[in-house]
Parts: sequence; structure tokens; C-alpha cells
Amino acid sequence: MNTVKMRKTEKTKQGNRIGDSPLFHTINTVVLILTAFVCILPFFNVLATAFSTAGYEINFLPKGFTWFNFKHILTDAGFWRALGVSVMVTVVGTCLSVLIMYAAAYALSKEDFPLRRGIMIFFIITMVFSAGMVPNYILVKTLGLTRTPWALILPSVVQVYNMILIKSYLEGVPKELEESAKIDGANSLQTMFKVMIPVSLPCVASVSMFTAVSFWNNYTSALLYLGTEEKWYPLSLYILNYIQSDPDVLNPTMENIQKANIESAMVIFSILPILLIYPFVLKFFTKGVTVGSVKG
Amino acid sequence: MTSTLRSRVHKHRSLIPFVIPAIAFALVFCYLPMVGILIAFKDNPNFGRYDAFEAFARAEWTLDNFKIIFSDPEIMRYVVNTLIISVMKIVILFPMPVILAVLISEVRKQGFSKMVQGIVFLPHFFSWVVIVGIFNSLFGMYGPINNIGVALGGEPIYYMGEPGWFRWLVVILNGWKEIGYSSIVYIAAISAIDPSLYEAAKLDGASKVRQIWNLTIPLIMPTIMTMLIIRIGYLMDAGFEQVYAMLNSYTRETGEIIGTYVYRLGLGTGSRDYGLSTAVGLANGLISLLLILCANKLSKKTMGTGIW
Repeated sequence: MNTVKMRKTEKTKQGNRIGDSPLFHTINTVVLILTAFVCILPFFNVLATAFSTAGYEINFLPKGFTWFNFKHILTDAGFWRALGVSVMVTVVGTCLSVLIMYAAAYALSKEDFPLRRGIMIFFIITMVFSAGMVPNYILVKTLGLTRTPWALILPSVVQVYNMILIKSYLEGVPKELEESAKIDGANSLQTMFKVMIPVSLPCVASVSMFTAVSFWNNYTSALLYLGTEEKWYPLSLYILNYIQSDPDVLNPTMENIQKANIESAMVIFSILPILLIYPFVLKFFTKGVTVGSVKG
Repeated sequence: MTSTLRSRVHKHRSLIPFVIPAIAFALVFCYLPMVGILIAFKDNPNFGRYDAFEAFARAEWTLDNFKIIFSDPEIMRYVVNTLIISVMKIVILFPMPVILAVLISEVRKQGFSKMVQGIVFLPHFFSWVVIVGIFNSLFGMYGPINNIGVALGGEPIYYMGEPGWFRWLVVILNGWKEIGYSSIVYIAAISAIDPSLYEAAKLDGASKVRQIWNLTIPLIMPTIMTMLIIRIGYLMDAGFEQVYAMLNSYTRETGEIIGTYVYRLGLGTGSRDYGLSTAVGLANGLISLLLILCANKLSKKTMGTGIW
């Protein structure tokens, strides 16, 4: 990151020289602002739709302002149950996955760990070849996990890319830190929790956030393994099913008329947690991820 | 390392339990299902009625599933859909993050650069369900796109249910979600360029556009080529999560891809054909694996870096 800053300051100093045209920078700024708008405007449309009454043409401001859509969600027991499932799956899944991947990465970060290369290949194969939906389903079924929330967690624990990120980060940690802990009589488990994890906190934080986002967003596991067991549907699948259901035109209740608007309100609701952690994601971005991958 | 395996095992004996859980999970959830590939050589085992082993034992061995794949026009149509969507994504979307990265790297104010990056990376973190929800509203009958169309004197279009629009929408949604985030790797590549090269170019009187064209682009070309080769390796995957979330009964004809077909055939509602579904998945997986391995080899050969 230092080089970037250096180049920027040098450029500003020589801002008026040939080859640094103000026209280019004006056009560039305008293009980027437009790009940012294209990224943001759809959110305003969804927000506006979520607060609107059906039947109005909605651009970026609500028309026929109403709380009905949000009130409907608040009283929708299925929605709350799905939210609970999502929270539980995300918390348990992230803890389990990050812990297991971290432990493996810690061992594999030792250059002379036995069979290190073979173990890495063993993991990388899982990134490029999957047995397919039916074999995976049959396995999960045979293990007795279908129709249980464990089907949303256990098959997604192995995240090889995260393991590689942590491993490259740990390879850059000075060996002396660990050795001094060993001399103090700490065993490997204590060293991992008391020395390595605190030292690699930026990396752990960013990997945890990525893992959490992927558990929160995942709907395929539920689609494949839960069948009709709706009580374990996570929020993502609950909303998708709502979106894909046809409105009952013969039964013009408020809920049916407002379906598209309720959909938008659900979308707003489900992105709130991601919006809340996003500033932290951005903060750890350069620290944890780019550093790790560059070294890798 | 000259030390023997035995001495290395001894040295790291306390760390060996640390890799066991990860290996166990990978064995159970990634390798064990590979045994199930044998289902592809069976005449539709009845997993609904019997447990896995019994259903497998009862079904006849056959190669019919593979014969069907290469002769069934329906499956061919889904292969073609997959390829069309994949190629459209590559041709239209692949250059975008490069352009965006170049533009972002030219910004002189750090604050503005950070703000733009923060905004354009955001959609990557939303699920496909959310993205489809957002675009349902945007392209809906009362959404802004139709409002513009109507204001210009057109008829409102139900975009999400138009077979002719489906693939374009797949590209648009995919672009909106991923262009920003995909630019990260190029932003990193550009920030690694030696700034003195630009100073020299400036002294030679090169305009900004010339600097980008003759300096930035050639210097990040290895990264661009590596990313392109990797991308082509994933040609047979048109994006199950995205397409499944977007697909409806009106758009099946142009939008059903191999992934969604494998799901519908093997695990969807209605009559299931586990054998054929596994066979289609296996054929697709093997072709993908071959493509990825070739891509990686090509990338290593030409650029010196592969995926692994």
C-alpha cells in the first residue's frame, strides 16, 4: 500500500506537467461517479418499493407511502423462524469452519510438516472436482442429516481457499514468537489460541467475515438437503420461495396485492446484517486478504 | 528437506491432530460422495423407497445414461444454453473489471478512491436471492426500466418472464454483482507497477490515454491473461445459484442450464431420475475438470503462474 500512496503524492506534485491532463481526470471522476450510482440506485428503488403501495410506478421515491409491507413481515412467523435458522447456522457454521480451517492451516504452515504437499493436493482436488448433486445428496441422506439444520452446516465446513489464505498469512509470522511460547511451556493448542490467533487477528477476522457471509447467503444446501422440511429453511431460501411463488390472483387480499412490495421489504431486511458488518469487511480487506494472497 | 519422514512426524507430532478434523471433513463430504458416481452406471436406483445401499444393489448396471446424454436433443439444448450464457458472460463482462481498475487507479484523491471502491465492491456480498429480488423490482412492471420504456411510448414488458431477455438479464445481474469485486486483483496489479515508469512516460510527453494504453495495460497483461485462462476453465459452469434463482417456467427454454437441469432431474419435484442426473453431472464435471487442468497448464506455461 505504501507504493500506492507514494505514487499518488508524486503525481499531485507534478500535477500540471504534460501527460497529466485535467480533462482526463474530470472525465474519469464523472465516469466513476456514474458507476457508483449504477451500483447504488437499485437499492433506492428497492427501498422505495418496500415503502410503497402496489400499483404505483416507482422509481426512487416511495409512492403511496405505507408501513404495511414491513408490518406484514413482522407478523410473519415463518419469516422470523427462517431468520433464526439463518443466524444459528451462520454462527455455528462460521465458528466450526474457521476453527477447523485455522488448525489445519497452522499445521500446514510448517515447511517440514510431514506429507505437507500431498495434503495440500488432497485439499485442492476438492476445489476443482465435486461428485455432483445426487451423490452429495445420497451421502447426506445416508448420514441421516437431510431435513436437519446440520445439512446446512457440515457439508460447507471445508473452505480450502480460506485455509490457503490463513496458511500464507501464518507463513509470514516470525518463528521466534512461537518458539518463545514453546519455551514458556505452552503446548501446541495453547500456542495456537494464545499466540498465533491474536497475532493473525486481521486475517482471522476477514476470513470469518467471508465465511459468515457465505453461510448467510447460501441457499443451495437448503434447496438440496432440506426437502419439504420448511421449519429449517434459512432466510435466503424462504425469501427465494416467496419470490418464486405465484401471487394468488383469485384471492385479492392485501398480502397478495402487495406481494412485490413485501418482497422488496424482505430483501431490505436480509441485507441489513451485511450492511452492518460491511465497514469492518472493508477495513480488514487490505490488511488480511491482499497481504495474505500476495505472499501466497 | 533432508530429514526423513519419521523425524518430521516426530518433530510435528503435536500438530498432527490439528489437520485431522479438516481431512476428516474433506474425506466424508468431498471424497466419500465420489463413490456415489457409480450411480451414473445404474438404471435409476429407487432412493426414495429403499436406503442408499439397497437401492443401489437393486438397480441394474447400464451404460444407457451416457447414451442418452449424447443423443437427447433436450440435454443438448441445455448444453448449448450453458455455453451461450458462459460465452456471453466472458465476452461482455471480462473486460469490465480491467477498465474499472484502470480508472480507479488513476484517481488522485485517496478518499474518493476508497469511497468508489467501497461502493462497487458491495454487491458482491449479497446473495443471489437478494440480487434477484432487487432486479425483480428494478425490471418489474412498475419499476424504473419499464417506466422509462412507457414514457418513451412503449408497452411495459415483464422482463423476468421473457425468454428473449433471460440471458441478457443473467449477464446484467452477474455484471452488477461481480464487476466491482473482480477489479480488486487488477487494482493490486496496477499498484505494483513501478511509478518511475510513469514519470519517464510523462517526460516523453505521453498523454494519459497513451500511458494507460502503452504502459498500464501491457504491464498488467500477465494478470489479465491468467484471469482469462482461469475464467475459460470454468466455461461449463454458467452459475447454478444465479440461474436457479432467476429461472421460472416462462424462461426455461433459453435459461435452463446443465446445473439447473441436473437439479431438476435428480432432486426436483416430480419424477426423479437419479442415474441420468448423476451421469449428466459426471460428464459435465469431467469436462470442466479437463478444461480447468488445461487452463492451469496453459497459464503456467505462458505466464509462469497457475491457480495452484
